[in-house]
Amino acid sequence: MTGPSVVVRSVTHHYGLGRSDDRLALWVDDLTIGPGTTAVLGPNGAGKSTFLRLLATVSSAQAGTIWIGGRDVADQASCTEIRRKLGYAMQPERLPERMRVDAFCDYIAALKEIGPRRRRRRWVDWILHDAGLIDVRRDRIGALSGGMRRRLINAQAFLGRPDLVVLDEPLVSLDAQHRADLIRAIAASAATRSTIVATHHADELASTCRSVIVLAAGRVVFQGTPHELAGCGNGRTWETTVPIDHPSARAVGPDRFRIVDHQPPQAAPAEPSVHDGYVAVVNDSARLP
Amino acid sequence: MNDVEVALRAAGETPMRFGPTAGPDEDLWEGRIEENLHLIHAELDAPRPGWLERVLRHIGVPDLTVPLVSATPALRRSWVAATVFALLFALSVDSNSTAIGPDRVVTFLTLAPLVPLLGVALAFGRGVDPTYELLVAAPRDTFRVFLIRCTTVLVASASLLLVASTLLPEVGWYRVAWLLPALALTSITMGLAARRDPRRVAAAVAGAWILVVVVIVQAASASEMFGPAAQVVFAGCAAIGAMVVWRRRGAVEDIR
Repeated sequence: MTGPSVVVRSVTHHYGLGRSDDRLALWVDDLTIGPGTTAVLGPNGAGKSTFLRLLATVSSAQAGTIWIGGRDVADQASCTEIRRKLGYAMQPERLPERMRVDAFCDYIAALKEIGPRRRRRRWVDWILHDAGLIDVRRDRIGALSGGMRRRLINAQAFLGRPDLVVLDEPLVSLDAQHRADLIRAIAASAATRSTIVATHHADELASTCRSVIVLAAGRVVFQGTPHELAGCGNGRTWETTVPIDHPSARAVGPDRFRIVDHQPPQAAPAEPSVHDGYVAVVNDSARLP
Repeated sequence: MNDVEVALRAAGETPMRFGPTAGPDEDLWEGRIEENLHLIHAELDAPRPGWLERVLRHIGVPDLTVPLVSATPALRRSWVAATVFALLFALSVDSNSTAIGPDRVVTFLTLAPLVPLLGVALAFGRGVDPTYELLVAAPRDTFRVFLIRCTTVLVASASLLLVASTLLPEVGWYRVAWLLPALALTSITMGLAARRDPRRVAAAVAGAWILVVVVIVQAASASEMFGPAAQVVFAGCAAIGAMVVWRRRGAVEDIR
């Protein structure tokens, strides 16, 4: 594995203006993310996007230190070097709607110092082709569907062959085929780059990653392999055919419901998946003082 | 024995004409044709650069700067249309005469410096630029992008204002008396916007400008507000603003 490692030490980040009543968004005491693919799981508001923005050097931590590939992100010169090998895909709520798809990619490529124009165009064609957007490259971004917008944002992160790719919810709005394509691409590039991806798709995406981090209420509550995370659901994962009112209950088939908690009546033990382990870890963290 | 035969013998193969394996690898051949056709189509289908890009390249703007200029939000048609509308409104005001001409001249000179000011406020920043996060995460020098955007806005706005000022009545050099105030207000805004929301800074500067104009024009005259002595003050403010921008470049480069 040749991608850069990420080391996070005593990082805290608050929402607000630094007053005493500001909400703590993130508190990561000691975390090392090795090369390869890493999934960041967590419920809404757990601090996943905040964490990814820090790693993508979009935000700076209010306290603590982050090293990427041995470089301190707080140092401006080091940060520029990190950014030269960084691809970042945020959530696509806001995009330049009136811009053409190819002009947008050309603009991002110019920001990534890819030149001259001919080389930039080859890169743009290449990523649009891979994202299945080559036929709409002259359309305005505002005319794209939600899935296409997501593919566009994902695609631009790969411009310039980055060593570290940070993707925030890359599977949202994608159809099954494009989800499978992206997961395959992420898994296939694990040997040559580090990919850190925030997702809610525990079984689909996180299970293919080398390591998994679970955030809850801004804190890291689990770090390990997908297999180890699934193991957290051992002895606590149950399946039943009776519809059950429980926060962790989810349908896994016709008349089949899965619960991660104490054994409910008429339920049989089940082999936990990565998602089940994730639910168990989050439930445990909610019980912490 | 030629070089090819030497190479083939060295590789342990005997050259055999018209043998069972002779001839091109059809699959490879087909693949190459397809690949070349794809490249030819890509060249033929390559989007033609827009008129702005062509002009920028023609006048020698560096290759990596062209996309940044053409992506400036203030070059959008909606922005230009709003600017033209505001200027036409300013020029339509007409009633009493002032020391430097009809009311509309004063209205024009008051509103004109706000055009680049607002353009700059909408050119860069977390709340106004949808690509802001991608821009910050990119290796390109953020201060340079900031300057490129602001310069683009200034040039575009000044061009519009110059055209609009030809519609003013005969007022001599007062026709361009908005230029130094525009530079002063814009540079002050750029200097203050390094660490603050550019929209708030622009709103505060614009409010202060209008207040100053109203007070001075009421208390003294329009010629005091836009006359030669005032122009010297505006030039000084523009220079101070430019120095503040330069001194705060580190804050812009490290903006996150």
